[in-house]
Amino acid sequence: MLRKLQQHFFDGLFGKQNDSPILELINDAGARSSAEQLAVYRDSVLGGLTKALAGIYPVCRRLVGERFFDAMAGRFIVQSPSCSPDLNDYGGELAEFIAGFPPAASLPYLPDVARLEWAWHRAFNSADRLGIDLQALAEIGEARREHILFRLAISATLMASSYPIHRIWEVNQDGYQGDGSVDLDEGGVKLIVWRHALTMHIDPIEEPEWRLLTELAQGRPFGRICERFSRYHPANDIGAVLAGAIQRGWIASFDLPPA
Amino acid sequence: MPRATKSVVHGMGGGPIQGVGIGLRTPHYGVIQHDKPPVPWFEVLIDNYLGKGGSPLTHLEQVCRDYPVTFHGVGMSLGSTDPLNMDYLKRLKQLVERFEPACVSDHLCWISVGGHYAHDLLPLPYVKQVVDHVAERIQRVQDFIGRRILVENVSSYLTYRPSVMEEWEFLCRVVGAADCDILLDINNIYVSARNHGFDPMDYLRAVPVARVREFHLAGYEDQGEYLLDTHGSVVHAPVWALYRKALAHFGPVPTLIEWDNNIPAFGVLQAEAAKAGAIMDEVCCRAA
Amino acid sequence: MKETKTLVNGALASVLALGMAMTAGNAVAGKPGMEKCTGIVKAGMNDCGTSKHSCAGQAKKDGDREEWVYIPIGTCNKIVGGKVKTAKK
Repeated sequence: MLRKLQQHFFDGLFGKQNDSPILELINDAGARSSAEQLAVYRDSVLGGLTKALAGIYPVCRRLVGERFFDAMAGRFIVQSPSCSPDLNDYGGELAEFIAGFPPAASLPYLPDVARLEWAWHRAFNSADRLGIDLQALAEIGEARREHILFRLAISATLMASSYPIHRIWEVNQDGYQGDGSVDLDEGGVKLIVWRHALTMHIDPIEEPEWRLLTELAQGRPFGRICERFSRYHPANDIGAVLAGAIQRGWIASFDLPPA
Repeated sequence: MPRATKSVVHGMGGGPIQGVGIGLRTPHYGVIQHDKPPVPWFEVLIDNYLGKGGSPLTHLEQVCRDYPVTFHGVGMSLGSTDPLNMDYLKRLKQLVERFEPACVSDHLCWISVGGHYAHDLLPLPYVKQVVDHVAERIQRVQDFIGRRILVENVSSYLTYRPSVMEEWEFLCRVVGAADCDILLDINNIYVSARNHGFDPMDYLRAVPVARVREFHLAGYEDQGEYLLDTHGSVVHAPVWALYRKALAHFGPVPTLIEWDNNIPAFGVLQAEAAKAGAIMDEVCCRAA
Repeated sequence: MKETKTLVNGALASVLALGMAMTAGNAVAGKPGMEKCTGIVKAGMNDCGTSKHSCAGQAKKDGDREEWVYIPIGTCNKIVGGKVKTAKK
């Protein structure tokens, strides 16, 4: 009985409103119909999730305006329910939704801005992995070094966009000084979004850095990465790129599989 | 009937709580850490600290170092027919073991079905079968985290035709069968009493005094035909009046000021807490 | 494989040459990034889980005609060039 009631209640919240079976299980309350009583919950649930999405995607909301964003969020919410008790886990599919949402088609950069904001949101709450142990790295014998698996900071997301989304993000931050315009003809960007202790970073990265970081994010051993890197970027020194990535904090640890 | 001294709820390491505490909210982190205001305890909305690192946990550590705390949650879904979410409970257990709060509480409601979450405290039908179901889940939660928990009465905006008992009877039966404690939200009792037309004193009189470990106070919004529990304003006069009666009936139970929407400056919450503290002293000391 | 070993050893030598004084997060090379202290900037997502909102019903009443709602009217009008320019003519 309870299972069915709860399922009906959910269908009443997110689905059809007027012929939901839950309405027959609700007592009359004077002048207020069972549909009106259920609507208190629907408004609260949709309002809460909309507010959550607005908190995760403030730049997207600013770009399209509150009215557009909240209406779009309402559409997203009914087709994309939350699957975690922690509201911090909700809303990761919004970029995909925007990409297929016809009214947003005139803003082709918007899905990538949403991806950037999601990466930022996840980095905010992620676990920490601080600094690489250079002493331990130095102690690895030469024969084993090609098997080293370098790891990105746990908070890190690598992303590439055909649009200057980091600039769009920047000019839409509170307190940005300037007129807030961005020319899409500036071109695309590759980014790493991550957190170091209490500081959030959005760092644009160059092609050779992208090569190194994406290769190691895929779990390739260092020897294999060196081979591929020298093929794609013969003019660049992987040692310098690796050292820079460690120095910036993008690479935060390493593993050495057993021999 | 009132106890002569303020009731003290003991925590393992976080220290006991008594008097009037304040719900910890992010806009107040700065003033709390900088000024270390004289607040007897803070209640932490623990669902905001489930992440593995970063700023939220850093702030939680700081507050737990400076003040006794209680953990309040919205994620247990005690009344759901889904299996208990063990990932959630494991994370909660880790935090409870690490910070040793004075109390751990959640709500007498359900928030999920079919693996989907509403993030809203949804009402249960008050029938025997549901009493047994919820009590059994509370017992399993208590066994798993190794602590008694407090369950809180929620505001509601509808009642179900299949219900065969009053909300307070349902609450009493659940906590009796589960052997857990009660977090009595005075504002929620008032809101539900107005929405469903019962006498809040009937509710207070039915609740077992010994199980009540904490009160909540907050502000509602009058929508004309019903009251909406927004936690977005000061505590209203009828709720203060009911709080007095609750103190006279249950004694000086630790009380929390909760504010979640349109969060004001910290001083406003301190003023509300001072008001509650004065009422607690007046009602309980006079009675003693 | 000889060449791989040379590459690997050369690269690690560069890293180790940086020495133990190197501190992650203190960049000395590469493009400047954007950073933001997370100290107190992000609201607790779950706070409102204990209460109700009164805003959603309002938003619904305002959202009368769809074509009017779904016209982006935010700061996107400052994003120029690329496909947007061609779309607007």
